[in-house]
Amino acid sequence: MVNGDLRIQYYDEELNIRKVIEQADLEHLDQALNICDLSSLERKLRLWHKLMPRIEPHYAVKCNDDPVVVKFLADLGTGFDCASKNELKLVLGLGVSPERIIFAHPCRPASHLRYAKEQQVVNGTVDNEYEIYKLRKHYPDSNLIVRFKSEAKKALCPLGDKYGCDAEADAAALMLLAKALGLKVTGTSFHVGSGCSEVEAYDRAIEKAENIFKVGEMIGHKMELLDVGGGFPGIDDEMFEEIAQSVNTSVELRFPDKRIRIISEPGRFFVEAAYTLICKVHAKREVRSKDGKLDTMMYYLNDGIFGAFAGMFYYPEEVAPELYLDEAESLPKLKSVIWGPSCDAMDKISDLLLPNLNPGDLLGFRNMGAYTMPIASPFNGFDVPETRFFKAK
Amino acid sequence: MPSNMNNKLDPVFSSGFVRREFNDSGIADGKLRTISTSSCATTMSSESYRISLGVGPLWWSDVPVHHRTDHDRASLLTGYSRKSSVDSAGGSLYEASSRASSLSSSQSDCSDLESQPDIHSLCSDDDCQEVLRQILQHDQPVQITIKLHVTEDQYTNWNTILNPVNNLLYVALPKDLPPAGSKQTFISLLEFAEEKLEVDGIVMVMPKDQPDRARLIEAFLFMGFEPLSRKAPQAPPAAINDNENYYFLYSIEE
Repeated sequence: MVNGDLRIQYYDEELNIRKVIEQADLEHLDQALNICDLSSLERKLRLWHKLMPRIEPHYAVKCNDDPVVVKFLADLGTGFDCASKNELKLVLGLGVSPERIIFAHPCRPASHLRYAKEQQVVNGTVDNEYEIYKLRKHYPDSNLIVRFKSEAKKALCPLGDKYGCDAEADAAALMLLAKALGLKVTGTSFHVGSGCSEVEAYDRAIEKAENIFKVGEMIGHKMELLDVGGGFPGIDDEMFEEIAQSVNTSVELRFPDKRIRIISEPGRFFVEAAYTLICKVHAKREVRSKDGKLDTMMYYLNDGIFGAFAGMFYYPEEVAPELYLDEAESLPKLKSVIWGPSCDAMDKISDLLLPNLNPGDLLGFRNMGAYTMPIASPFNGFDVPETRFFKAK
Repeated sequence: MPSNMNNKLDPVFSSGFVRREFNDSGIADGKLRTISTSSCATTMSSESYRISLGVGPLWWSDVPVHHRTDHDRASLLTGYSRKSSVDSAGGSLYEASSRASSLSSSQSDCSDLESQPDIHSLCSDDDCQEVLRQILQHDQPVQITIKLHVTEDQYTNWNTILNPVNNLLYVALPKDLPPAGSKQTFISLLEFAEEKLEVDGIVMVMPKDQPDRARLIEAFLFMGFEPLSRKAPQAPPAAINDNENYYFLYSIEE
C-alpha cells in the first residue's frame, strides 16, 4: 500500500521465493505459507491498461477476497464486481465509492438488494423475471444490466449452473418486462466462463450484446453500459494479449460510440499468478507391492483440498510443485502421491513423479491466487494457510 | 431425506433422534404409522410444520396480474399444516417429490398422492402470519419441511429445523435437487428465513458425496454462504464426529 501497510514486506527488484522461505522460520509454522507478490497485481493492471485501455476492469472479489488484495486494487483505482452483501460491505468498507461497483449476481435475497439500495450501489445484473419483480419492490431506481448466456442452454437456471438468460429468447422479454414495470435497463453483460481458452467466445458474445443494445433502445431503454465479464487468463499473458486484441476489434466494430461505457469482471487475471503456496511434507509412507518392491511414495502435506487447494473441486488441474532441494533436477524420480492433511480420501492433491522427499521438505506451488483462499476452509478443522504480502520497493 | 441426515442436522441430539416412517399402504388405508425411536423426544417439539414456497413474487401481492406467467402461480402457494394433519401425507409426499424431481413425466401421479388440505391451498397473508406465529412461539427446536416449488408440479422438500435457542435455521440439502429453476426458489428459502422466521443465520448441511458437489458449493459460496467448521459453535453437536457432510453458514445481520 502506498502509505505502507505493516503487513507488507518490501523487496528489491525481484521477489526471491527461496530467500523468503529461508527467512520465514517455517519450522515453527504448522500451516502452509502463502506468499503474495502485490507487485504482480500492479503489473497485471498495467498490462490491462496497455492492451485494453477502453475497458475498465472491475475485480471479481469472489476470486480472492483477502482485504489486503482488495485494498491494494482499490488504491490502484480498479472497480469491483461483488456477488453478495458481504462482498459489498468489504469493498465499501475500504472507501470505494458505490459507482465503482457492479452487483453482479442475478439471484439476490431481498436483504442484499435493500443493502445495495442503502449504499447506492446502483448497477446490478438480472437474468430472470423474478429478479426484476424483486427489484421493482426493493430497488426500483437501480440500473438493470441484463445478463445473457454466451451459449444457449436448455435449463431455466439449475442451482449450481452458470447464470445468464438466453440472448435471443429471453433478453428482449426481460427488457420489456422491466419497461412495463417502470424499471430502467442500462446495459448488458455476459460471462464466457472462468479461465476461458477460446478467443472467439468474446466476439460471439459481443455480437449478441450489440443486438441486445438495439432491442433495448427500441423498447426505450437508454443503453449505455457493456460488461464483457471475466474469463481472462491469469498466467498466460500471450493468450491474454490475443483475447485483448479480439475484444478490442469486436468492440470497435460493434460499439464504436465512445460514450458507451465498457467494463469487465476479471478475477484470476489479477491474482492467480501473484501467489505461491509453500507446503511442508509432514509425513511419508512407502507403498510396496506383495513381493516387497517399492511401488509408490505417499507424502502428506500441511495443506490440501480443504485448504488452498480447494480450487481443485472446480478446476482440477495438474500441479507441478517446485522443490527447494539442491540439485533437485538430477535426483532420481519416483512415482508419488501427495495428500492433504485431513483423513479424507478425497484430500488427494496429485499423482506425480518426485525425488525422494523427507518430512520437513518443502514443496512450492505457483499461481495459487485465484479461487483458493476464499474457498479454503475450516471444513476439517485444520488451519488455513497464512498469507504474507510482499511488494517491490 | 435419509434419516441419518436428520441426525446430523439435529441441533439437539447427538445420539437419539426422532424418526418417522411411513409407507404407501398406510396412507392408502388412511392410517398413520409413526414410529418414534427417540429416547429424549421431549427436547424436540413434537409438532412439525410444512411451508410451501415458490419462485416468483412470493410475498409480493402487488405484482400486476397481466405479467404473471405459469411459473408465478406456484408462488402463491403457502400451504401449511400442523403435524396432526400432515404426517399422513408427509411420507408419501417426500416419495412423490423424489419421483417428481427425477421423472418430470410423473407429475400427474404425484398430485394424486398429495393430500388435499396441505397442498395448493392459496392462503392469505393472515394465514401465513398465523402459521408463522405458531412456529415462532416454540422455545424448543421445531421441524419445518419447506417445500420449494420450481413450478406448480415440480418441487423438492427441504428438511429444516428451527432452533430458537441460537436462532439458527438448520437446512439439509435434499439428495434429489430439481432439474431447473431452483436457484430462484432457493433464494425464496433464504428470504423466508430472514424476513419471516427472522433467524440470525442458516446452517446448511451438504453430503460430501452430493452429485455435482463442486458447482453447488460454488453457487452457495457466491450466494454468501461460508464454509463452517464442524467444530464451530453454530454447527449441530452431532457434527463434531461427522465426516460425511460439509457445513455452511449463511449469516444474517442487520
